[in-house]
Amino acid sequence: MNDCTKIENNLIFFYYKELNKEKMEQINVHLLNCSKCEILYNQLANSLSVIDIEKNTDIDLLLTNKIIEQVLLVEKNKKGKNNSVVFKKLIQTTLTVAAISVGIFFGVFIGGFYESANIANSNFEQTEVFYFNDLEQEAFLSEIINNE
Amino acid sequence: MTEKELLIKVKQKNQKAFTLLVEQHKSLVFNTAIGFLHNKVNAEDVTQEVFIKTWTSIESFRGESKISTWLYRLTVNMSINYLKKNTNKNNIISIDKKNNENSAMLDIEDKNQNNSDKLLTNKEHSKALKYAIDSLSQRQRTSFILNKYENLSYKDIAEVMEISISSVESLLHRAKKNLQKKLLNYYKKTASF
Ligand SMILES: [Zn+2]
Repeated sequence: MNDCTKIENNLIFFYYKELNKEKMEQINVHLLNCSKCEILYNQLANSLSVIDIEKNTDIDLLLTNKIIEQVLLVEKNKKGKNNSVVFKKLIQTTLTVAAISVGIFFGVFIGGFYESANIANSNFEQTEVFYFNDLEQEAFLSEIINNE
Repeated sequence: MTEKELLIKVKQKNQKAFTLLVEQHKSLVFNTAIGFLHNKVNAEDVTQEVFIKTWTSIESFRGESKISTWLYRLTVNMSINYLKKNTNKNNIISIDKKNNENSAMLDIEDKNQNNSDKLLTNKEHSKALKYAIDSLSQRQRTSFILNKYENLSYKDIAEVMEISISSVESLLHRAKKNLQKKLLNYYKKTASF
């Protein structure tokens, strides 16, 4: 590795003064005697100095106001959203209750209508009720038993 | 008012306290953002986003670190997201992504550039620095920006990035080496050394 390459590898640390005293001095002397390295160093220093220019960029004086405006807008939208959610829930509940009430009403109404219509039109009237364990219905069985 | 008292009021959605918080910390957010974005308008956009996010999610700040640490983290994340969203919009300069030593030069399409002149213009230095920084890995870039744009100590950077101090030292050393390599290669190419 020649001298110039060694110097090039340390130029950024030289710029940031992050080398020991001896190395700093060594590079300083080299730069005074080598125009090629000197040009490279000046270029590097100029590019890195852009950081200081960017760091000192003036912030818009109205930035704080803009941020507060944005925050207020967020709050307003949030409130609007919350209100619409409450309104939506209210509408949903009302509609559900209405639907159930209408359902019950029609159920009772239709049920009542069919009941009265069926009874009125029915030709069948049940007068006797038979039960499987009714003794009178066991005549056949008792006959079989008696025949034995 | 102490930081703790201020934050309690901000959590209670006190607008005056929040305005004070913005006033006290907008520079750190803006400077960090400009390190990533290199553009005033974009950095102001990110600064606004960071503080809106702070307002809406301040409840999640548990006070285990300083509010500045929390803001640095938010700014780094939001700046990186902002860059991702806007990557392909202004590609004036491109860097060879193969990371080839010889081809990893900055390919500036500035037609007014005078290559016979060995010294670059300020605009060219600005572009060269921007793309040299952008070519660093995300962690190297973050540590470099926090150190050089915000003058944060290794300890503070370690806290923001949630890594050890020795990792910060190593990241910064590699970041500077890589920046140097990119920039020197670029000067040699453009000035026909
Ligand atoms: Zn030399």
